[in-house]
Amino acid sequence: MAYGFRAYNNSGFTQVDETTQGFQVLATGIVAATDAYTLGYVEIPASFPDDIMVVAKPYNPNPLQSARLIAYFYDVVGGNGTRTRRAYMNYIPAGGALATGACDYAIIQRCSLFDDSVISGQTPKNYGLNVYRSDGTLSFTTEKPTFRVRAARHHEITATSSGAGYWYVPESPADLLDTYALAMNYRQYKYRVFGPSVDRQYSAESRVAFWNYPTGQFGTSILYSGGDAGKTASLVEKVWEGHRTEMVGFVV
Amino acid sequence: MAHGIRVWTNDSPPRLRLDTGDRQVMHYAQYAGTAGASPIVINVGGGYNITSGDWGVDVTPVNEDLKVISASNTLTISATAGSIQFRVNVFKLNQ
Repeated sequence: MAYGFRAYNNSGFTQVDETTQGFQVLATGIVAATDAYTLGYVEIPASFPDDIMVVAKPYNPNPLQSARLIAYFYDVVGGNGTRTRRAYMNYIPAGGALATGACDYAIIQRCSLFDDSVISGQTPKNYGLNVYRSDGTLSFTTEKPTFRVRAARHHEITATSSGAGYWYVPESPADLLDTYALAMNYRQYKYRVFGPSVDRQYSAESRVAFWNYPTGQFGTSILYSGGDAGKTASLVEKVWEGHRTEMVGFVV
Repeated sequence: MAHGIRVWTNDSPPRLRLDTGDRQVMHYAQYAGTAGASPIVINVGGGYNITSGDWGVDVTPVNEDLKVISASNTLTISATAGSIQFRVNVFKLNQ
């Protein structure tokens, strides 16, 4: 039996109910601008849980131009047992070829794993709306900053289908400046070596998040690169293929 | 006119922390491990069907050798070269 209450929006989708698992914000910050030879990153604190995710957007971009975000999550346990978790990101200003721009980021986690301790002892007390699950844990709270999902889309990446294109238009162009994207895997996804053995060439494609501020649209874009692969390179075509989901929203 | 509820923060000026156009996306599960040549089959359950439009999946790292194949109720994960430490997040969308 359902517990608590349920609110629908005018699209027929549930806004909040007992099964909701809203995203709570654990930390926010800025990854600084770089020289583009290496991407900047934020180190994920070791105390943070396993199931965190990272959203990001260009920091203070020029609203008369577009911006493309390269961002990916790194989570590796080294041979010495040390775990390194980082979220790499920088954005490419319009007309540029290198990711040099600083980024706003937020580290988020599903709300249902929080308990009442996150909303106790604060001022003002019990502000807004709290929805509990039947086991007593929070499913939704407005008392802490939240990642509000505005749109999500799903695409199956193949060698011939990258999923490039616009897929989100905010209610107002100004909202695009505040729009964060899930920043876990915007980077090179396809690599190919081709040509005769005496002249091997390579081409690479990266999927990146694309804020087109002048038109007020958001989407996924492809960056292309290529060059000499060396005479000893083997012919190959590799694609990070499969079903993938992207999402955008606000951190409030 | 929009249906649903709105909740504002107590900032000045107030900001919307919940709006009628917000979409419910549930972080359903996360799986992590090391993929190799032998496929790892994960039973997601719950009616997981990536082609239905009601489910989403996020795969890290972006690595052309990492293969994550969705099927009804399952994920099959493998690596075509070496071993790769992976994370897969599964979402329920638009409930």
